[in-house]
Amino acid sequence: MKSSGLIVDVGPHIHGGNSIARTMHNQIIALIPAIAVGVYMFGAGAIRAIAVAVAAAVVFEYLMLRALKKPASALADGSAALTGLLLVLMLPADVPWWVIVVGVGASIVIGKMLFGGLGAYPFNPVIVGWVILLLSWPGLINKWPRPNHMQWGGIAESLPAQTTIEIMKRYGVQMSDQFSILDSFLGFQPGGIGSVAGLALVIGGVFLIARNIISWQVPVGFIAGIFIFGGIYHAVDPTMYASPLFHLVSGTTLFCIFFLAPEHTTSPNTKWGKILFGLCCAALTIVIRTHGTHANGSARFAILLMNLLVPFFDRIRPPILGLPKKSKEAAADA
Amino acid sequence: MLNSLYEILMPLRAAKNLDKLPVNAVPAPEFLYVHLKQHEGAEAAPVVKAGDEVKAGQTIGWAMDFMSADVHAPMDGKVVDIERQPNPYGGFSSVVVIKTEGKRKSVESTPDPDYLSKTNGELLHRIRRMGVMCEGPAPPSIHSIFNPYMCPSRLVAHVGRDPLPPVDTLIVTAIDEEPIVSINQYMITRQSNDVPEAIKLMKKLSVVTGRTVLACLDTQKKEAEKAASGEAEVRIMSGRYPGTLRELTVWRLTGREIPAGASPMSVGVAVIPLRTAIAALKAVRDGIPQTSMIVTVAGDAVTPPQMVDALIGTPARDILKFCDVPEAPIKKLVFGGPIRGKSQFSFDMPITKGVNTIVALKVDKLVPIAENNCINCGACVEFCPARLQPNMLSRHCQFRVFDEIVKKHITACLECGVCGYICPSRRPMLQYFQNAKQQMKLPRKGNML
Ligand code: SF4
Ligand code: SF4
Repeated sequence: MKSSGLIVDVGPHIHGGNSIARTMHNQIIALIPAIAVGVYMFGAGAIRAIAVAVAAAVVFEYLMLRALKKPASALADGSAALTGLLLVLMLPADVPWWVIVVGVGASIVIGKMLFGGLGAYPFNPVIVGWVILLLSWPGLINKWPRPNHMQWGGIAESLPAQTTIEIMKRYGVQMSDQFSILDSFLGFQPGGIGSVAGLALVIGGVFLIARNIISWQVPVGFIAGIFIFGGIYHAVDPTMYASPLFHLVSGTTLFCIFFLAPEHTTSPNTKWGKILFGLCCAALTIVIRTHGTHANGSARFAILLMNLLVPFFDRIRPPILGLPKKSKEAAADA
Repeated sequence: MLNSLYEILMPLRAAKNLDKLPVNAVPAPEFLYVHLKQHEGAEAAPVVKAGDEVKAGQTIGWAMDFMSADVHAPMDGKVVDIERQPNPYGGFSSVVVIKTEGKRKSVESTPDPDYLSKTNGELLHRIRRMGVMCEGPAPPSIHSIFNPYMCPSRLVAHVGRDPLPPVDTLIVTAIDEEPIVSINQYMITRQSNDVPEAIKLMKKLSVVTGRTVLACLDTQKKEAEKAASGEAEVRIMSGRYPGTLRELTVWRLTGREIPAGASPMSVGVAVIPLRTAIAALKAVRDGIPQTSMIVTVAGDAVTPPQMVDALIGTPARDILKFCDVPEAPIKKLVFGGPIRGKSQFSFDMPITKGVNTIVALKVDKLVPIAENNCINCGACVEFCPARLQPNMLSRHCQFRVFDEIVKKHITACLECGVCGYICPSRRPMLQYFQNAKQQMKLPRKGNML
């Protein structure tokens, strides 16, 4: 019998069509509204920062792939560009270019490639890069430019630009009340290039969920957690603690909910694990914001801490099909 | 809403309306290559030799154990040779090469209208002598469905367990396990006259004490109700893969989970595909041996899908030629469904009793499978019907930590291939698991070797 030159391999012989490139490209597409808001608010500076970040990310990834003797074709999947993009969207638009390069380098080299690349890192590389920047140049990356098109009212006008959360921490809840929730949600608040553009981020997040790129459980758990835990504090003393809606729309909360927390590698992959992961992230966010000193990065710190616990969340799973009852506990241990 | 999202990732549904296609008989090729191993268990022993004249329906191979069934000559002709050839399901086996004469004609039958008065043992024996098997990668024999005690490999999973409970539910399923496959749906529409009698026969063979269920797709509800004519309760089930697998059919209809590697009998359920039931009925009532298969020919190289009736031993090349499918664009030829079927290396591979579908694929759009990293997206965990963690299991397999996968219960894996189907990394999931099971000498699903 002669071979007919056919491909012989193991099934499945058809494929659903999902790919890493599709996942990453869709996330980049989902960020476009946020980028647009950033450019509207901060002008050409935002475009400059984004260009620097994406270029640096691709170069760093390429160098690391070469150094680790991996095929450079992995660049095409867009994961490096996405990492750079996510990082720069959290930075002020007028941050010096070398800060962006260092941050992106830290994300790609330390956060991602040293652990083995895509799929192997325990912490979200974007947050790793951001934390390294925060510890190194806190002054530079927390100095927010005043956004165009934003109305400043009252005392805030005389102060340097600060995020609504900083104002809440420093001057109390009454002070932060002068920012309307709706304005904040539409993106009219000081902050990173794209990370405070609430509505645009929600649009992107819903797009990702509808395209099945991220699952709905983490965002829903996170949002529910913000309302539950923020609501508890607010109910105890509304003059001391801000309302859950304030927590949701201010700072990078929505950015974290839709783009950082559901990151595939560093989030759990069982249904209830994801919901609990979201809830716990939210609880930590509220606690750090209310009692911690780093109120500005509370959601990101919460995610970073919760990344550590992902293996435990992964244990919350249904029993394996057809396993005898008595060894179900044993299965849970495995 | 959630349902439709699920559809985006998992559009794998049972074929619909293929059962309405006309079924044409493929003319007999010049040479038929009839494999003596078309089943799990031992190869059948040849009872003819080169130079013998054979008649259609004459026994040419004797089943050597209860996991197998006799093999018959599909046509009048002359045995040219008995040689070792690659088996479509792996390895080598003996092939009786028959030079055919004249036109296809129906086989001689030995009717037995009084079959219901026979004992179950006699009936099972006659079914085995008539060569009736299920289809699929490792077609189980009727014996191994109704009497697993006779089949050592099916019994391994029962060792140390209580004796098998009596069968209280009999499931005759008219739903095909994989997309594209449509043979069982075909039976409901086209051979509905035989359905009640077949169900009656299956009730007798399984000694069922409780209910009998005829499972069918929603599109066939009316036909099924008419065909069952009160012999069985008709239950509509979704045709979404992998819920159509036998193990999951049992679970969805009765709520019982079959222990890893065991037969449905261990939870008191007998499952039999409708086509097999009707073939068994024809064997005992009309004395017709199984010498041909109704094959669905589909895939992106075949438009539109077709159904043909082909003799066992017909090379795929002849079937494709009969269907007017050009060979040149075909890059992959799969026997069986598109998920768990076996890809063949040659167009000359003959069909066996396991082959109910031939899928011809162009494979031009697919990203090739590669040992990419798992990005831990969780899609496989979400969709695994055995509720395993394919992401972790496949990592252990990739780096050959086989002890760990045993601890993580790889034996529960149904080898359904869903994890490989949705993996964005295009990891060879099924290959990892099959290889690991082979290495650890664990029972495999759908493996004849
Ligand atoms: S093949 Fe994959 S999806 Fe199917 S049961 Fe096995 S591990 Fe689960
Ligand atoms: S589907 Fe593939 S990439 Fe996603 S978790 Fe499973 S093995 Fe990993």
